[in-house]
Amino acid sequence: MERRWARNRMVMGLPFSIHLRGQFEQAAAEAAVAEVWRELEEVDRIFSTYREDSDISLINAGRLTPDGAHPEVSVVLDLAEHARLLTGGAFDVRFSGLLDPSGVVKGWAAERAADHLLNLGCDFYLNAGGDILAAATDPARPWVLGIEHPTVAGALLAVVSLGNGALATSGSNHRGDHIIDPASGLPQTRVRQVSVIGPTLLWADILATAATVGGPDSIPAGNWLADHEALFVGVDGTVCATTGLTDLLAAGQIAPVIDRIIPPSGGKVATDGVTATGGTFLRCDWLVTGQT
Amino acid sequence: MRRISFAIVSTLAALVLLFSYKTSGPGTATAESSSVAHIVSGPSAGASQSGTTSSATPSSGTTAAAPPDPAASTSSAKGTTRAKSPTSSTPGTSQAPASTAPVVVDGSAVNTQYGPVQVEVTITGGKITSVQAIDYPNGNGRDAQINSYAVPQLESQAVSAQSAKIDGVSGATYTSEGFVQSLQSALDAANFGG
Repeated sequence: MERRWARNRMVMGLPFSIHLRGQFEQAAAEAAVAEVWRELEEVDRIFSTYREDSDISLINAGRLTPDGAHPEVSVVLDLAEHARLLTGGAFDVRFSGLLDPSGVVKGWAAERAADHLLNLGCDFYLNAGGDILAAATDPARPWVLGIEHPTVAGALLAVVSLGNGALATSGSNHRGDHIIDPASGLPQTRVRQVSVIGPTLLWADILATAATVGGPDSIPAGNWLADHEALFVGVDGTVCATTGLTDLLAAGQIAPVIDRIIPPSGGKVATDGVTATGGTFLRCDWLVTGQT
Repeated sequence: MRRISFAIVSTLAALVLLFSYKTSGPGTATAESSSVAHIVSGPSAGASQSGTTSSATPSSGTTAAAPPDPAASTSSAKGTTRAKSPTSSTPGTSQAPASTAPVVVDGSAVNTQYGPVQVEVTITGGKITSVQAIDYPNGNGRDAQINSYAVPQLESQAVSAQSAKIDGVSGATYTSEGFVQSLQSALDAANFGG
């Protein structure tokens, strides 16, 4: 008999949820979930900007250099630099001279921690503060995920089917204007919400944040990755979607009226690995090698 | 039948714990709480479950089954006499949502920095049909918010999430405060049981 089971926890100041579906050993599931929490909390101790003793806080206080910090700090800062270059500066972890890599850390850490769930051999998804990483053993039975409506509490904007991959949503509806445009230093005011669906939570999350800053027109401009689809809601309520998004909408479910289709960007492709969940992992080595 | 009890009680625990999200600010994710839930009435009113006493995180609320305790009236659970149906079926027989008799479960009071919050959940035919706060803080604006906003939200969403054909919800960053009112939190609660 198929079982469903869930656990949730506050990590990194955000609510995380883990849902399992299918057949799994209860004891193994409890142990795997405990490992996920443990790993996420360890990451938080290194990267939290709210902890005075985290490596990031010490770096910002001038009491530690990135080179002297935990080795994972360099890994994350490398990813952040790739993200900045990829997005034409729309995504930047440095602001006013301070380092806040939270926008990279959440997706990176959640993706890595979710590896502990793979050995269970069942379907799972991890919701990391509203961004979801999903894995389904049977492609015919994907997870059916709602995208929150940006302005109507408790309502859905759209429902998508997601087998193996990620769905990240960025915007301004829960925390006020928390997306700052690095170029102006001001909260962006054109886009209310952006959801991005792609192979990895790391890059879906980064692109969602960048697209909130850059707006729909940043996609044809080329600051985008192939295999990623986006759904935008403007502050005026208009809805834009990339060409392939409609294919991901769940049949017979809530679907938005799309005012404008954004043409493909001829996006940059950079796949050199496969995530544990079967998605392609975008390491952006093309940035390292200078290929653009 | 015992398994159903666990599921129900776990669901309740989730709801109780979700309240702790609401009432604990950022950085204070672990409200001091004691999660002890009691089934007030229903086919399997015998089972009770004790959560841990130190943490508000649901993952720590997993548990060992206590021996049947028909009294189900120890210490903190208030309103344990609010039976909405007589106990009926034979324990230990059928599987899952076999019974459609309403089961009423009371959570113990969760002591938050704003005061105790206690919820009562009614499960009918294996589905949550009602969530009510039977004890919540009174006295300041924050409490009034819990009373007038979060409770009805939680109730309607816990019920509707089970009929919605979705597994999860993606949204722009959930905060600790916003999460309790989110559809995802209701989905978590609905699937919380073993």
